[in-house]
Amino acid sequence: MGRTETYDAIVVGSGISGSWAAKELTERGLRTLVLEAGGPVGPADYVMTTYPWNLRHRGRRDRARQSKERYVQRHCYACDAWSEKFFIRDDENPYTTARGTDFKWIRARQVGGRSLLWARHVYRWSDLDFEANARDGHGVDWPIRYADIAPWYSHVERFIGVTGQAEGLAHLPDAEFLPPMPLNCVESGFREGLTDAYGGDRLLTIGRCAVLTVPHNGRAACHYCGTCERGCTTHSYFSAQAATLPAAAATGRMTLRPWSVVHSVIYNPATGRADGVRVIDADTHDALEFRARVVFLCASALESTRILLNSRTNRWPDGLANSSGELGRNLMDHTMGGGADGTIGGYDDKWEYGRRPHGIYLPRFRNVKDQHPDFLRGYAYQGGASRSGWERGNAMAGFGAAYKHALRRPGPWEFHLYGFGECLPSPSNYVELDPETVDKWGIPVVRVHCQWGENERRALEDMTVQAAEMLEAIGATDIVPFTEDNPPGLTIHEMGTARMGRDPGSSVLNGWNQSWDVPNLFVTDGACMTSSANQNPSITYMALTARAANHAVDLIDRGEL
Amino acid sequence: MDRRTLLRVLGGATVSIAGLPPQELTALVKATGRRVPQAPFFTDVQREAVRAVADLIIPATDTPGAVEAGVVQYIEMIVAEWMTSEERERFMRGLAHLDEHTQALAAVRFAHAEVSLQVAILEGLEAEGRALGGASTEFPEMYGEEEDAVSMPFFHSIRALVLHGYYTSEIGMKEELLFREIPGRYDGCVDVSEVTRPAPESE
Repeated sequence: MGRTETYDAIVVGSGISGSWAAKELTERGLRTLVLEAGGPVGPADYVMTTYPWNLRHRGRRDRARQSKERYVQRHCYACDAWSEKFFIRDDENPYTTARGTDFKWIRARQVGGRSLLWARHVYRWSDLDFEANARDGHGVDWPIRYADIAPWYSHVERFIGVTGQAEGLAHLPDAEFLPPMPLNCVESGFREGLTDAYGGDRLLTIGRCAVLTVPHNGRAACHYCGTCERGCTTHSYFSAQAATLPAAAATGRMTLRPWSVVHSVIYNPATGRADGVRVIDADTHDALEFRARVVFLCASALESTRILLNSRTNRWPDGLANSSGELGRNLMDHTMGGGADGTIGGYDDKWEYGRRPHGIYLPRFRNVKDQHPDFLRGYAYQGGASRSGWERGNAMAGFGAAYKHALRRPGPWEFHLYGFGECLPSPSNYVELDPETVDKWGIPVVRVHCQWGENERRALEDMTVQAAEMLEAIGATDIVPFTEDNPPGLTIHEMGTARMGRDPGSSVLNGWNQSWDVPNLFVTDGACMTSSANQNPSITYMALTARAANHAVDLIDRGEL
Repeated sequence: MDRRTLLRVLGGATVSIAGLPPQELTALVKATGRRVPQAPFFTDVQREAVRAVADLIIPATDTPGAVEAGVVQYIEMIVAEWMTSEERERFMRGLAHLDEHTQALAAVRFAHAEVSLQVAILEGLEAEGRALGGASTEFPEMYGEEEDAVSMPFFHSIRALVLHGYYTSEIGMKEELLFREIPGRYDGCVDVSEVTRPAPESE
């Protein structure tokens, strides 16, 4: 082992969760080491102003290379000719799946993690979600309720900037909104038609997104170029690089160390605490140790759990802080891809100017007031109305001048509804260390056991049927219902495997994201989730992280940690 | 041995890969570790045929057409570098067939036929291709497996290449479609006429 450096806090991971931990801990006065497995990424790497004509193959992916280097990542829509460099190399970062199952693990090892690439949708949870496990008996009860996290949602939203429309829904609480982006004319018509058809039970609203519609905290408003995942040089959407890491750096108390692959947590049996972490330098492969008073794991759900599973001790031969036996269990992701498309008439002379970086949201309406006979929990839709462009020339007859001029005008308005559904926590969906496979740095990889259950499938089918019915109700024609067969993981909302709970016998973390077994160890990324709700989860990771970090500093200040 | 060295060995920097016999091409690909040959790839005759087809599909009108937008070079590069060998062979067979078919009808290559005959030939190929389901597939199989070679009828394949090449060019995007890199605002309800170029008066 090489030299050892000591800090007040260590944060493992620099993405959505880790950068929030770094910001809060440093702003509260802690000298904080942020360890990032990947390399630095910044505005110089962004490809926002790279247009198709600047690329050799005009944005066509190199299929042969991707099939060797990014054979999992390429299944993500954003892993294209522009942005593939922001995704991991699958050949260096393998994982395995149980025989006969599929799990697509989409990852980014870089400063900022996946915050550069995320779809930016942010929706608060409510007690409909925090009480769900207690209500129907799946999983264990959340140790917190909406009132515990609400101020932290506000804290996070005020900093990152969230555009959206206040609607006053009890089960989808409003955020601290910046002005909303407008619905387009067809979406406005849909909103009215839906209210006419379903009374107040179903609502279409503009998406709630971590994108700025006005200048905010020194960052510029969105310029509507439409391709956020290429990186935004005006910092108009929330990424760690744009917002939280600069704030942490401004305190002068953050040390950010890229190329630092965390191998395991160093447990001290004499004190019962974590002394720090073991790191393998990604470049030199040197083994290093770093020590701190408190350790935050924010490496992403499966990476944080992998680190704990790999931190075996005499007391916990199956992974650190695993007295409950729940470490690795209850892996969840959202289902996606029940939905329908339909053609909308009546707005032929209207189109959009600018490329809005998000679409509509149609919040959950199932199992809100009464119980559906076929499935538990709920789902929500994203989507919107758009008109096709030149691509439809592939399906049109003809060629020549008239064909060319016809393609100047857009195709018919089409409305797309695409559902995302809640996944029940189940102990049979879990990860473990694969005894036979290691990554480029010799660290055992995870083997994933994950399959959709009957409840997820039934809800997915209902998404399809309801999408088609709603399109019919508002007068769409040529309705095409679909039910995609997406494997778990691909929604990139993987969560669970180190759940929070009320009882040390059945959960890994307490209500403050703190390990029951190792009091100075916190896990605040998606691993901590006790249930999945159906909302995009990142804002909840941010709020839980900020809450946990401030609690940790409170404990330190009170001499209790 | 890197590719440049190999090219020198083979006879100088200007050696045309397209002119190599197949077994040497295979050896070249193997030796250099490259999956595919690179442009220039077409013979002059092949390039002439592609140019004629591109010009018929997206001609110059009140805006530049496919040829001015560099679509011929684009197609050559995609065929040479991006396509799988199966896709490439299929495309090249279709291109060869275009000239053979025209020779049989009018004793000239496609590029030198009367425009009315060129149009009639393309219309015939389009009808054939449509019967084979060609109009239902979008060419860029962006999410495909490497082994998922795209097998489209020739007309629909080359038309898809012309469309992609034209509408991803700077001319196609900015002059033809009025693409603005940085729109600066979003308006969800503007008149189509404000954001599209009108068809010329004559139509």
